[in-house]
Amino acid sequence: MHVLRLDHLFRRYAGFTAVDDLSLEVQKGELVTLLGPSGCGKTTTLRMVAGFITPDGGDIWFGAQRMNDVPPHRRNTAMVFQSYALFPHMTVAENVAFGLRMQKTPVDERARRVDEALDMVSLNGLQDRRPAQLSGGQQQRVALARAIVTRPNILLFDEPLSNLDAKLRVKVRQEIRELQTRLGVTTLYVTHDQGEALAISDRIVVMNKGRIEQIGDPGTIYRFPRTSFVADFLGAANIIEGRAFGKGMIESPVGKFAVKSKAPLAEGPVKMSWRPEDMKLASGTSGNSIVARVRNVGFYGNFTELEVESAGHLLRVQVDSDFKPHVGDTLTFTIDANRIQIVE
Amino acid sequence: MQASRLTPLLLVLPGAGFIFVFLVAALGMTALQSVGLYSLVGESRLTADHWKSLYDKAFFDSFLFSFKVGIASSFGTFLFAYPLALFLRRRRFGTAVINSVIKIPLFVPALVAAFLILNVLAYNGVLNSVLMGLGIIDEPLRLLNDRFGWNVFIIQIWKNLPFELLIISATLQTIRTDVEDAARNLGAGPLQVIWHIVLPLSIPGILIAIVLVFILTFGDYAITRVAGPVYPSSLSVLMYTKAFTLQQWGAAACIGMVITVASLIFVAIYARAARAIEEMRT
Repeated sequence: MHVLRLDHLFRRYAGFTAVDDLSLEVQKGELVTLLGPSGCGKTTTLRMVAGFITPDGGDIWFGAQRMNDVPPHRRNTAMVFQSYALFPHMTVAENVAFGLRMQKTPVDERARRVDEALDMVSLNGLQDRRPAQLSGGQQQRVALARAIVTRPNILLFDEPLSNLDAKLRVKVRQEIRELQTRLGVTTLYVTHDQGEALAISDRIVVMNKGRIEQIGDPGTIYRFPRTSFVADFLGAANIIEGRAFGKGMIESPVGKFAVKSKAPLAEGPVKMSWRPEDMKLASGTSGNSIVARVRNVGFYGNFTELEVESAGHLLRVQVDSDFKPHVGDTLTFTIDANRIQIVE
Repeated sequence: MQASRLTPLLLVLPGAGFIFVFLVAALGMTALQSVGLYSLVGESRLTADHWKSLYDKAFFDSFLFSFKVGIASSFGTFLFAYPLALFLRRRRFGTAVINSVIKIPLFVPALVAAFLILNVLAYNGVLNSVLMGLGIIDEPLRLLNDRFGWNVFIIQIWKNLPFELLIISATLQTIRTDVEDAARNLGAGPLQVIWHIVLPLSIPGILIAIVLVFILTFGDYAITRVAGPVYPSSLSVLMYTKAFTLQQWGAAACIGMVITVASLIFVAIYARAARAIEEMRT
């Protein structure tokens, strides 16, 4: 049963199309992430769901109700803003209680639910503080408590972690996911951080230039990108153009490859994509191998990333950090046929 | 070598020095004259006579009148300026035109403004002609030089509206739109957003606007002189009369002190309120 359905959504601004024919269904309790670079239309889409932006075309459905003409304050969504957007003149408790006040919840129930929500985000004891007296992480939690306390139909997140430092970001995103699962609240989550999207989502919607590039669960999106954009945006990818010939064979400047493509390959130009970690060091040149010269070595602690060159193409390779090649070394790599994706 | 150290001083000195010298000298002289020293006319001696001479009905009526004009004009202007500022906050059809037209009174000197409005409010003026032409009234209304000072309020509001609008608009600009969006998202309708979010967050600007307009109107001379009641006069008009008509320079100095001190008291109240709000937020 879907809770949110976007049907051929379209939004133009002077000079460019922000959201172009976007259709999406979000199921009850699901966490769906809109992922893409800035300007891809993900925030515009989120703000159309919240009602801050009116679509120029298409429909927004919450269940069986068409929401296009419903103003934001009657939509029963709750949004966590990038800036948190806390009310600076209200205490933490007043901030959290605001939505309940607007819903005219009785005072005693209001107090109980505010305490409950603050408990959930471990902010008990800070009820009487003002937002200015809180750390960034604490403000983030207040924003979260303020959103969930109203028991919204749909929870909306607009880059909620981008103002936190790296460690806190990982911690808070786990908390968000736990809380979302526990409450079973349908969630639309916007981010440009692929790691965040992979870690938190039931499904990821990769967007580019207002359009959906691919929808899928994190594993599928990462392992089987449909386009070179998706391959490159989620983690690094090596993308090489070649020509398909024979049965699942591809000829390219860096070598000849056997691939296992789901659909039969038509002869002609194709794009291949594989991950840096899919290139394994090999002793001899058998099948699917690439001979390349090391251009750059980057030590990352748990792995080492190499930049290698083969036939004028730069490739990224992840190897074990115990392996210590030198710039100028010639190495041979092999790629499993399963790991080569044919992308658009 | 020392030039770099002197630069800040050179930057500060002309402006600050100018203000300081004339402030201290002028206020000091006026204060001394109010107690009979450095008298411009007659003998100079320390006396409380000038202050005692103020203790009459005319002075208290003038004080009350000026106070009333100050309060009514600053709050009256606010009642017009705030909704307008809310409307003009977002760009929409007509805001550019309204924005430029509304600023015109800023560039019209108070005396000229008073004369301009006079034509509208006069016994045989535009307003009365229109009202009578429409059959709403049979006799012209006496709007000018009336005892209460309606005309003074109207002219003051006309004159100060763009000024308050500028201050309040600047304050509204500082309110983040996503804070308002958050309120709407949590179920607040347009009026509730204004009541619960925009109004409380714009109080600092509202305070500044009201206090500044109060001080401007409390010490007004030109508008009261042209359009105000014959009696009571404003404090500034009374001061002028004492000095130039009655040659009571000492008494005039006393009134000058009263105007200045009353204004300073209001600034102090404002500063206290502003600090209280600031403390409330942090």
